[in-house]
Amino acid sequence: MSSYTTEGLLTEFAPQLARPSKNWITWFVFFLLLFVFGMYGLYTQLTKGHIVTGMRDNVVWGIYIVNFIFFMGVSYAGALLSGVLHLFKTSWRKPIIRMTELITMVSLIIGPVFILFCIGRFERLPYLIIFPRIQSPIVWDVIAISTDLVGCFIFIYLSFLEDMAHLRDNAEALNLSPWRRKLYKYLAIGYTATPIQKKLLYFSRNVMAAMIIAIAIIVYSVLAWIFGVTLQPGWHSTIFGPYFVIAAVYSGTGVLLVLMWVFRRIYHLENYIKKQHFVNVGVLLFIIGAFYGYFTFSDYLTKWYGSARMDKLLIDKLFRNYYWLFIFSNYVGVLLPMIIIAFRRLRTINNISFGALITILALWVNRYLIVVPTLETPYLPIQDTRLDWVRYSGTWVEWSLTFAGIAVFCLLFMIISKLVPIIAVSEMVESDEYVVEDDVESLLS
Amino acid sequence: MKQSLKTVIFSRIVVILLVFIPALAIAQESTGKEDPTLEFTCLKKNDGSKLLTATLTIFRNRVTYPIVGSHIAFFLGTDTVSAVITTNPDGKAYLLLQLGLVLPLNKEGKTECMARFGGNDSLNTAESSFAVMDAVLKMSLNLIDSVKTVAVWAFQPGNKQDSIPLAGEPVNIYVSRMFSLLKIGEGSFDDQGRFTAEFPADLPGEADGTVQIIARIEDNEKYGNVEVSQSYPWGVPSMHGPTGSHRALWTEIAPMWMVITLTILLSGVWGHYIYVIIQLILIKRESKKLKL
Repeated sequence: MSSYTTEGLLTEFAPQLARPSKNWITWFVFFLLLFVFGMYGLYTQLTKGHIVTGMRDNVVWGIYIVNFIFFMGVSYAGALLSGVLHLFKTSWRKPIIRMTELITMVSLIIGPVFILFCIGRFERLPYLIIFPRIQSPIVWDVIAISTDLVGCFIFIYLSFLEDMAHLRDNAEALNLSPWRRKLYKYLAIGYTATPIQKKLLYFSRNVMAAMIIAIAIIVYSVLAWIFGVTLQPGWHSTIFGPYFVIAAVYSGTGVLLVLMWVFRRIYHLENYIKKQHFVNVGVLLFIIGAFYGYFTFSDYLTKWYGSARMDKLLIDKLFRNYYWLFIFSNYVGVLLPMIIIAFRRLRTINNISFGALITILALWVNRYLIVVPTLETPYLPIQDTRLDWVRYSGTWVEWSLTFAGIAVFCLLFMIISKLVPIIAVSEMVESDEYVVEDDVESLLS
Repeated sequence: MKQSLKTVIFSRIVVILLVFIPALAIAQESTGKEDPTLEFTCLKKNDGSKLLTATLTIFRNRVTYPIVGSHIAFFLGTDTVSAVITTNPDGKAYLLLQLGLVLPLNKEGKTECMARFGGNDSLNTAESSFAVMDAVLKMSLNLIDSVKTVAVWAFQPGNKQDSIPLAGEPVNIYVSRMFSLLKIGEGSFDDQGRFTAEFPADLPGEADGTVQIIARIEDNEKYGNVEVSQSYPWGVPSMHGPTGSHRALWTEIAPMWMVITLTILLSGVWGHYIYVIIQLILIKRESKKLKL
């Protein structure tokens, strides 16, 4: 049985939910400005067309797609982690599980928006629904992402439900504003933790946790198959599905560690998010990092050894034009976090968080190296084309929207952390085991 | 003494040659002009017209380059210029002589034609000529014992009795393909001026099976190039649309396995969603029961 009480925890987290501090407002304004800058970039793109981006006939995908893959990966990682942590009742999950759930939801909102930035002819977008061809991996992706979006929202709502009920019931003590009371009352749908309600919620959460793991794997594999089923050098690989899933979990675990560091520092959660949590998630990062390194090596080794003409061209390009990015993404991004976690002396909260940050950056670069160099290596020779059409580089418009995406990620986290405690109160209080009581059985029957 | 005089004269000649030959070579180089190549051909076409083609090129560093925008003067059986044509980006200048145009003949009954490039600051002059007799080439396409047979015959025109078959002259039969001509027969005309070739039974044609069959007398010293062609549905009709299964990746309807897999997956996932939403409705209903 847990030593925490609902009232005690809510009282402790009340300052987090209270009026925003000056620091909070400063950061909020900063991210808002980044977002506005991104909107100006978007306005420029909408009025002048895609010519303001670095995308051209040859390299038709750029930073937008990289961001899409990255955010979707982070989202699936959040879903996988929260699903696994929930199902296996890992005892140390309790203070961090809400963060994993929020990572899932927030990233899933941002990721698909980047696809829209790539579309030049918006009026054709409804054709995907009006004239769907289920043979097309793009249609698979649309179906998969929308299914995943609904599933994630249901899963997250289920995990929020008990906390909403707690906040509703303790609104008086926490001195919550009237609109908050109304919001919590509405979202709590009358949940009062009766035996029947507890049982219904318990089974629903288990079902959704299992579903969300399967969906995350399938959906991110579908995203990988968009690349894998084409015959492009570097993409046409049977390993791409699992490789993408592993890479996603790796980057998502990195994001989780960084968020743990940030929220621990901002909301002074040292009593809840302890060094052991960082080490545990760090070990997870180590294992996933090892898998990611193995998959990367295996993928490039087979391509390099096979020496198919286009694969050879691509690998030569990676080691010539993208040498430092390749080294950072596939060596530094794998080895540095592993070294930090492997040695006890290095295994501090700050070091682990720094390693996680490197992981995030390395994985973003990894997606860039998957997308761009391949498109710069077409099967048909590029003739009579300007160099800036053959080589891709992101423009300020693309970077402004990228930073706007990161800003929205931070803004949504800031807003949500003002609506619900960043540590799931119900998880902290509740026992992991649900005991079916006789009277509940009789009531249900 | 005589010998020594001979030796002196010989040695002086050698010295003079040694001095002047390189000097002449240098002088030639110093003009800086190159020698272009002018090719001149004649093709008698299906409709009886004759296409004269002059091709002006230059050979530099083992690569042949066309000379664009140069004037080529055409002389048709006389010493006066009949036409001046400018070369196109391929270095070619074309002159089309319509059927019925009477050209002067020489003693051998040939038409003498010449193309001349007058040169410019960097290129020397060039000219090329030929003399050809008129020849008629005809084609007929027949099914002989279910075999598609291409028959061609050629003769020098004249009165009916005077027509002279082009016995022994070589001829080629082609079928036009997308990028080039496919040779389906080659040989020589018999004494009657006839030649036959079998048309392949399995040659793909257009959607309705149409193929273009061409017979050519080529680079003939006497007759130049003479061509006759005919389009006929002897090919195998080509179906470029979808073939085989109407359920495939490239057809409008997806493969059945894909439809079944997707249906099972989506039903499974959305079924669970519906189940969980029902549970939420039950939770809400339970709260209403408690209020009552």
